[in-house]
Amino acid sequence: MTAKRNTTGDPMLDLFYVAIGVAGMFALWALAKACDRV
Amino acid sequence: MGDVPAGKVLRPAMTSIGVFQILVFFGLILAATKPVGLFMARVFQGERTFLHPILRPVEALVYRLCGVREDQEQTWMQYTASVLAFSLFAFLFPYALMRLQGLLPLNPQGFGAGQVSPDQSFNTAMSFMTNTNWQWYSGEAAMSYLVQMAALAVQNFVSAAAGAAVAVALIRGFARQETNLIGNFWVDHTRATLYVLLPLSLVAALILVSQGAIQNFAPYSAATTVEGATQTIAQGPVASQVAIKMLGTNGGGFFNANSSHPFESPTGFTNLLHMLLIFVLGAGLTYTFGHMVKDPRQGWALFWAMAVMFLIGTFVAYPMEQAGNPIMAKLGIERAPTESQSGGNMEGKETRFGISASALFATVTTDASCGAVNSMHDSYTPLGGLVPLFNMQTDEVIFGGVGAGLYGMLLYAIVGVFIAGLMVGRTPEYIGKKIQRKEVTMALVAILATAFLILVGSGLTVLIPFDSGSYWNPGGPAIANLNNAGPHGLSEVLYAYTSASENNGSAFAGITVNTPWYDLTLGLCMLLGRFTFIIPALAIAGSLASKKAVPTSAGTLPTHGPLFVGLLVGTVIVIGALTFFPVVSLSPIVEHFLMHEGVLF
Repeated sequence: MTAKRNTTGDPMLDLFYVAIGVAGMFALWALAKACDRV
Repeated sequence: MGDVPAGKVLRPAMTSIGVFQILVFFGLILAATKPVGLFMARVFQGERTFLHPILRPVEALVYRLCGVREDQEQTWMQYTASVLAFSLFAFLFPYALMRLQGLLPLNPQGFGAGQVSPDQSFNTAMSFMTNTNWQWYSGEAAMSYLVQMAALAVQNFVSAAAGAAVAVALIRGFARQETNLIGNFWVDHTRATLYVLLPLSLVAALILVSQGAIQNFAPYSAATTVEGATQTIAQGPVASQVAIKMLGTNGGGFFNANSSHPFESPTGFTNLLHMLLIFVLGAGLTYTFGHMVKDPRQGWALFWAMAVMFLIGTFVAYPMEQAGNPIMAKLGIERAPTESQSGGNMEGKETRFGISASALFATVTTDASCGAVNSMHDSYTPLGGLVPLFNMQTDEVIFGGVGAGLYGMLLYAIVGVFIAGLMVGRTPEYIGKKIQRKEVTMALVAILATAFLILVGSGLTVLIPFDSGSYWNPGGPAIANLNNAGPHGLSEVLYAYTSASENNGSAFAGITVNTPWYDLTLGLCMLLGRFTFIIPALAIAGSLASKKAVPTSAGTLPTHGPLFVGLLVGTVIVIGALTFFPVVSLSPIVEHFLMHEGVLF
């Protein structure tokens, strides 16, 4: 990544970090479903 | 001490006043456990309390506004879905507030998005959503008052309430029979916030203000020092945030100096109050457990297992800090306490609190998943610093975070009775429930997941080479961010990933974590560390609730006596030691021996 950090002008970085957070929650939901099958 | 001439050694290691302070603290926690635990049991069972005349209408209003049906209970999967949905919102909302703080009110210092970049917002949102409160920032130099209150202080309440809700759901798993319902997350969460966290924080905040903690919306003050320089003195709504950051075992300070800052903890009494607030709910929940499973002895057994480990940790950390650094003694510097000075290792400690109250605080804040600090752990002696590190690595089950300590300890109890069952060749039982493959598998998933995050996170950070000037770590390799070399440097990395994965939030310091690599990986450790414990705990709750209670027989292992307390303490310590001994032997332990050889880092 070549993005600059302390800037308000790079929405792709915001999107990147928000997407990781959202994906993390869905991954945890998948873990819950796996635990249900144990 | 009046007859002792200045300079004369009073005690070789611990002082009587230091030991007295520790015992007074423990006595107060012991005294508070039953009344607080009983009150919480009544709250979570929906029974009437002295607060109901005022708060019951508010509770009913919350349910009406949110569309929650109080009488509708959930299966463990529905409960988990509610926890995750709530937590997703608790991540997104603070993230947005931080990034938009420049456009929002209550911002007299004019902080903007430039103070909180996307990776930093991600890290902080994860940190406060998971009850970690790891802080890459100085609150007074980065966050508007609105962010401090609406994002961070609110998260202090709701993340603690989520932990309490999960613990209560697991208790119901033990207490109920042949049902697939373990309670309603939204109801448990609302009750924890309304009846427990809000009233106690209000009282604590008023006490803090009475002692000199500040609570205002004023712009920062400028003062002229005696040397004639200008000093900026930060202001803000401090007391309200500090009260919940201790009670909710969050730990995120309003100021960078956290609980050593005189506006957060103005007196020795507030230092004691801070520590009591950290432990009081975790200790109380052990009694709540005993009460709800209709056998208070079971709760007391958990309490004493926690108490034994607390006392062991405290009475390792305190004498280590009081003994200080042997190299100082070789240089002729007095390190024993005398009438005129405290002796020992005072580096990084607040002189108002001294060595015993600092070592006690460091132990308490890492026994629980609080992470507030009143001294700098990086400056502790190697073995003094090992105590907080090991407390966290054993999953902070010593009273622990609000709810998290109890559900963590119950998972260890399941593993403990499983091991005992293997030894005597019987199907293990705990609180009248057969412990079978599902419960043991889930407990081990939780315990191993956090260990995996700590060890893999630290290992990757030590090994991955980043180019100088790269986005992820502009300074080059991630170990270039360390202030110390050798085993002490390894301790700094290990402490950071331990603190994040175990949702503690205290920093060993001595390491610059304010880069995208650390912000991202530590943020992920917080997320996964929190929920890889919560999800298996809820799965166990669902499994246990569906089982029939087994009557006690001659072959049942009693789980309310000293034998079980010893088994539980042994299980926690042995699992922690087996998992982490290799890495701590390369960090604090080898540093200890090198220090005695005259080598410092």
